[in-house]
Amino acid sequence: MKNKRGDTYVLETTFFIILNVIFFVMMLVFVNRAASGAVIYEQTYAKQIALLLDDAKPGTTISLNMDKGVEIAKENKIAVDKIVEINEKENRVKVSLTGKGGYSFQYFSDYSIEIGFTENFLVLKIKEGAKNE
Amino acid sequence: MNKKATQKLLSVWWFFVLTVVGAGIVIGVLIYYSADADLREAEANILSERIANCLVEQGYLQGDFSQNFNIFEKCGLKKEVFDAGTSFYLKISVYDEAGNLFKGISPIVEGDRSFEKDCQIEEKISARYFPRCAEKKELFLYKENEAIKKGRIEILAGSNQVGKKIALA
Repeated sequence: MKNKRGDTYVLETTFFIILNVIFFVMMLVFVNRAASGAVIYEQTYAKQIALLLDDAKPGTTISLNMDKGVEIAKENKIAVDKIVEINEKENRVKVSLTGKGGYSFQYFSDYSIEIGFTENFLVLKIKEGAKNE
Repeated sequence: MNKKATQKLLSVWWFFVLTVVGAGIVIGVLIYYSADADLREAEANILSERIANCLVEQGYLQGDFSQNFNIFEKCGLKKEVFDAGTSFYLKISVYDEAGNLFKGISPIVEGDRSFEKDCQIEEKISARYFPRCAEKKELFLYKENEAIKKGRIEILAGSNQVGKKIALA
């Protein structure tokens, strides 16, 4: 004959452990999602590109690895060449990985910039002479 | 208290603990990841470095440095970025060997002029929304009456740019 009280105890303990495991898994998933979110990458890339442009001399070619950005953009069905936009009129770098807005950062350099993608690398060519020349 | 009542109380208490721990993690993570990367000091450093590299070539001050020197054109800076509502500041003072203003040329000042005072305050007290500045001093050579003399450039550059999120277009 089975011990009914013992069965209930095992069931309760198992249920308790499962609930705890679910809770901590949920927390891990949340932290992981927050850490790999598009918003952070948009901001990071925009600022990184602006600083690179400000620090670059004409004739420089910059190649920036954007593996993670391209991965997020593809998940959101964004064309790779639409990830980074450079508005030379306002001197702003705009990075959008989701198609829902993005992040923009200003740079102060006045050189003409040619932008392109080679696989997952953003290629920026800083051209000789100012834009208004 | 009997055993069943104790177990019930424990489960309610444990549920409360989980809620507090969960809320703590969520709030902590949101605060951490919503914080902006502060590049103001780096920008100010790049700006001052760029001006120094542009004004001094192979140890000598640019030959055409005068009262009407166009810093934007010569150093490849966009003038509009330094206009009203700007997040940048720039002050260039050039001194001769005697410590006077080089050829009497007054300091070149561009951008938000309030940054100079703000940066002085920021040096003394921690002010989160105040601009960050970088000061750079560079020595240069110049010729005067066939003699080579030493001058000094002082550059104060500031930035208060925080970037912006763009809403759905």
